Formats: sequence, structure tokens, C-alpha cells
Amino acid sequence: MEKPGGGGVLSAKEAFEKLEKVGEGTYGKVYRAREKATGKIVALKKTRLHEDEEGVPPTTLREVSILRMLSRDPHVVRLMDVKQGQNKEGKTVLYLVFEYMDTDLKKFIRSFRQTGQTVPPQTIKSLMYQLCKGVAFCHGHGILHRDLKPHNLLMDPKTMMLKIADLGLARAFTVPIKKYTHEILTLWYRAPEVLLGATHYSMAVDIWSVGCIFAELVTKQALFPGDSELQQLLHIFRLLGTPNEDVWPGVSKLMNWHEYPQWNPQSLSTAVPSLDELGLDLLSQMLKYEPSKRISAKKAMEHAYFDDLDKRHL
Amino acid sequence: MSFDSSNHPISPDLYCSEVTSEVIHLDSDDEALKFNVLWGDSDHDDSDDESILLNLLESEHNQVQEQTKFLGQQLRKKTWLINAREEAINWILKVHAYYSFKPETAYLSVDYFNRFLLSHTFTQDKAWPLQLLSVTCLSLAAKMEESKVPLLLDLQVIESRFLFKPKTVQRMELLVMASLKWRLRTITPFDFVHLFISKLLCSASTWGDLSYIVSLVSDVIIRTCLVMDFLEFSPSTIAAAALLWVTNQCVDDKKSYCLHKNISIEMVKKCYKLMKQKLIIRRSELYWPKISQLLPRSPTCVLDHAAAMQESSDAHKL
Repeated sequence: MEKPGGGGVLSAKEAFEKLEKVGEGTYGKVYRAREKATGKIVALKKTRLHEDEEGVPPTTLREVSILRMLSRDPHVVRLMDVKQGQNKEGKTVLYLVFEYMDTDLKKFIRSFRQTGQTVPPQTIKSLMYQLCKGVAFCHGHGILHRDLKPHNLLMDPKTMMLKIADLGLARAFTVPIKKYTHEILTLWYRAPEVLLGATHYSMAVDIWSVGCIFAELVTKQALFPGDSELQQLLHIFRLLGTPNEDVWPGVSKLMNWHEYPQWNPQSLSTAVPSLDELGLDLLSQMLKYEPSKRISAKKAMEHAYFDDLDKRHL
Repeated sequence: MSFDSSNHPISPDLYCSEVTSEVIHLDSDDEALKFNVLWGDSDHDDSDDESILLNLLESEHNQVQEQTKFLGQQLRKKTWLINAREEAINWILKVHAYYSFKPETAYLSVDYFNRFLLSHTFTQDKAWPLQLLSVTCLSLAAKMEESKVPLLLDLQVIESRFLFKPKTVQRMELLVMASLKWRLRTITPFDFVHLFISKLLCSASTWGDLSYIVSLVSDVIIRTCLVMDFLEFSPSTIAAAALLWVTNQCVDDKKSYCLHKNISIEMVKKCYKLMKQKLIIRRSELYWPKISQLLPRSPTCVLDHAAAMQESSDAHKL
């Protein structure tokens, strides 16, 4: 077997100068770095291969191959290259080379919380439109993200551009949706059908997350900040009412269903008081209990809430 | 080293089992829920399907330009490689059946295998490189598609003449991925099957029929992996031809070829003809000998299934 010559390719260490560690990803650290040849600033996501030598982790395979497919959309973070390297113990590591983004939505919201200011309504509208557009692009290509949250939404604070990142849990799907295991998702943005143990779930799980992010942009607080799966459900039920077979056919058949306290639905305006009527309507369509009734990302982009947004540069 | 394959009987009628399960539970509430969640038919929006189909066809076009034009030509120049390739793919399909992987996993394994062959030269005198490539491609596909992935050593339990250490497979994984430019999420015929079914069978489908047809179509698609002549067809063409082939057996009336304006009718016909020609002849050589028979949709199919398993078990002892 003839192997391709590796001698002419720079290793990750030779090609990049690490500047600082900026975070911890699903499987490893993230660094801000400079590409020596061009001086360009990039984000290096370092992935250790399994200690048990079972090869490249599935999350890395999925993230890389999905990003290779999606990176032409301006609202998905761009994967520029994949480099192999070795760590100090001589073990193989992979470096995913991404375009660098200065901040993320979590830090952005926190900065407003600290100053006591509200996020300007037009800024919210622009960010939400970009988020819907990026999600629509993923869904249009058969990709669920499954872990949308402010931390995974990278931003350039100068241009207010927003990009979806961290697709390590993303999954390709064909229609209709296949079964997936109950994998870890951040609780606060998790759709009720996932919390209730549905094994068949769909693009709608991402839309639920988008709705939670929308509310958080307005109030600067998480909409449903549960600290356990049960508490997460109770948070949701207190606001939207405890679901039943009338509002959500099939809900009582889900694996984790049992008797819950009975709450009546509250108006969304009690949770998001400063959002206007059109925004509340869009939010309510994102937070429908029945997944098939939830608005799609593509239709959300067409909602009247975005009518007065200048979309030419988005 | 080799394993006594009688210790690991191949699961018979992979898809028959699936269909049996669905048929039995057709009237249960779970099925009603599944139907509702899967299709949400009161809110089903054709424009969303159309949009997904357009995106798939665009991605497919980009993908096809890169690779499949030349693969068939290159492979045909080496007679020994044709046989070695078929042997390798047969091995992949046996492991696939053993672990009850999804059809997509089998198809992707072969796709990676083919694409790697396109860019690398193998010498005839050694058998282990192709075996290592088979293990590696199956491992990568399983990681992409399956919820539970067997250990790398466990993937090699069936009829493997060589046993590769996990570290070796890992190095090969990195080599294959670099060669494929990390494009493991590729368009397959399975991406199109349900979209085409929803066009072709709009009013006729019930959950049971749909599941049965999907199983048959999946079986046909997997069989195309073994026949090199199918490499000239795009995934959407294979999906369309497979569906038409299956439904012409199951549904008497003729169906339109116009699944989408971007799909070439001539290519679908050509592919369909090749399926008829190749797959009927080869049917007995594959692993699901009874899949093509229509299953009676009644509890007695459990007995038929048990009888089929018994037959398979008896045949194995010969």
C-alpha cells in the first residue's frame, strides 16, 4: 500500500502559535492562535483521541464532516482545516482550525446584565433572524444541532454577526426522523419531548432551543433554568401549563411521563414582559408543546416580527 | 487467525424482522403516536420537502462531480481488484447484518471504501491492506450513523483472516479521513427514499405499507453496492430506480417517473433496467433470501419468520 507523503505538510505545532486558551469544548481545549504563515488569528479546537484507542471519537467525526458540508453558510462557523499533531506524551491529537470569533451570545447577554442595560430591540431582531437563518440552513441540509444554547452561538461584536458552532452532537437525519439515543443536552434549552424520553425527535427540538434563546435575549435571564430534568419540566409546565392529551396528543405515552402537578398556562407576556405582540406570537409558535406544531426555522424567518428588519447584509 | 463462523450465526431476514414488528403493532397507540410524530400530517408542508429535496440534489451534484465519474473506469483496469473489492464488501455486509446496523451504515462503509480506492494504489500480492481498509471504513460509518458502536476488535469477529490492533485501525482511520478530506457526511440514496415515497404514494400509504416498502427499497439499495456498474449512477437515481422497482412488484399500477425535474428520466430507466438484470440473478447469493416475498400482514407471519430462521439454521449446518 502506498501512503501519501506527509513530509511536506507542517504539523499543527509548526503551523500555529498558541496565544491563549479560550475555552473547553466537548472533548478538549480551545485556543486562540496565530497561523505563522499568514498571521491570521484562528481558533484551534484540540481533540484528544480516545484513551482506549477506539479511534477518532464519533462526535469529532460528525462535527467535522457536518461542518465540511455546512461551512458555506455565513451563519455556521467556518472550519478551515484539520491538522494532526502529537502531544507531550507522543499521542496523536487532532486540531480543528476554525475562523476566530471574539465572543459568544452567553458573554454578550451577561455584559448587558452586568451594566443593567437592555439589549436593543433591533439588535435582538437581527440576532434572532441570523439564528433562524443558520438553523434553517442546517435543517435544510438534514442536520439537527441538538445543543443550541447561547454559549454555542459565536458573535462578532463589531458587526453583530452570529454563527452557529459546536456541532459535536449534531446529527444527520432523513425524513421521517430516525431513533436517537437519549444523549446529553444542556437542560435549560432542552425540548419537553426530549425531557419526557421521546426517542423519535425532530428538527423541532432545535426550534424549542431557539425560542428559549429568544426569550433570554429579551429578559437577559434563562427562561427555564432547571437544575434537574424534573425541575426543568416543572419550570416549563408552570409557564405553559401542564400538558395533556388535548394540547399534545400522545404526551401521556412518552417514556418518562407520570403524574405532575396541574398548572394552567400563563400568558407568555408574564415571562417576557417587554417583548412586543409580534415577538410574543413568534415566541409562542416556537414553544408549542406538540413538536409537529412548532414553527419551522424557515417559516420563522418569514414571520411578521422580522418585517421591519433590514435583511440586506444578513 | 480466523473465527468459526457457526458461532456467530448471521441474523436472517434483517428487514423481515423489522416489518414483522411493525405489522404486529400496527394498531397500537404507540404506532399512532409514531405516525403522528413522524409525519404530523395535518401540518405536513410540501414546500419544506421540496426545499430539502433541492438542497439534497445540489449537495449531491457537488459530491458527484468530485468522485464517481472516474471510479468505475479506474477499477475496471484491474481485474484482481474487482474481485477483491467484492470480497471486501461482502465482508462488510456480513458484519453489518451481524450487528443489525442501519442500511445507511452499510452504504456509507462502501462509499468510503470506493472513494479511498480512487486515490490510492494497492498491490495485488498482499491481502491485509484491503481488509484493514474494510474494517476502517465500517468503523467510520458506524461512528457516523449508529448509536452504539462496537469496539474495534469486536468489529472483526466475523471471518477475518487478519486481526488488527485498535491502534492500527486508528492510524488507518486518520489516513482514510485525510484522503476523503473529512467528508464523511455524504449524500446517499437513503436521503431521498422517504421524500420520493411521499411523492409517489401520497394517498395510498399507511404506516405498515410504508415501513414494508422502505425495507424492500433499503435492501435493493444495499445490493447495488456489490455491483460495480451502479457506480455511474447518482444516489438520487439509485433511490428512484429502487423505489420504482420495489413498488412495481408491490403495486400493480404504473407510476410516474417525474419525482423531480432535476432527476434524469433516462438515467433512472437505465438504472432500473440494470437492477432487473443484475439483482434478480444475484438474489440467491445475498443474505436476505426471503425479503422479496410479500409478507402476509397477519400474526402468522411470526410463524413464517420462525420457519425462515429454522431453515437458515438448518442450511447453515450443511
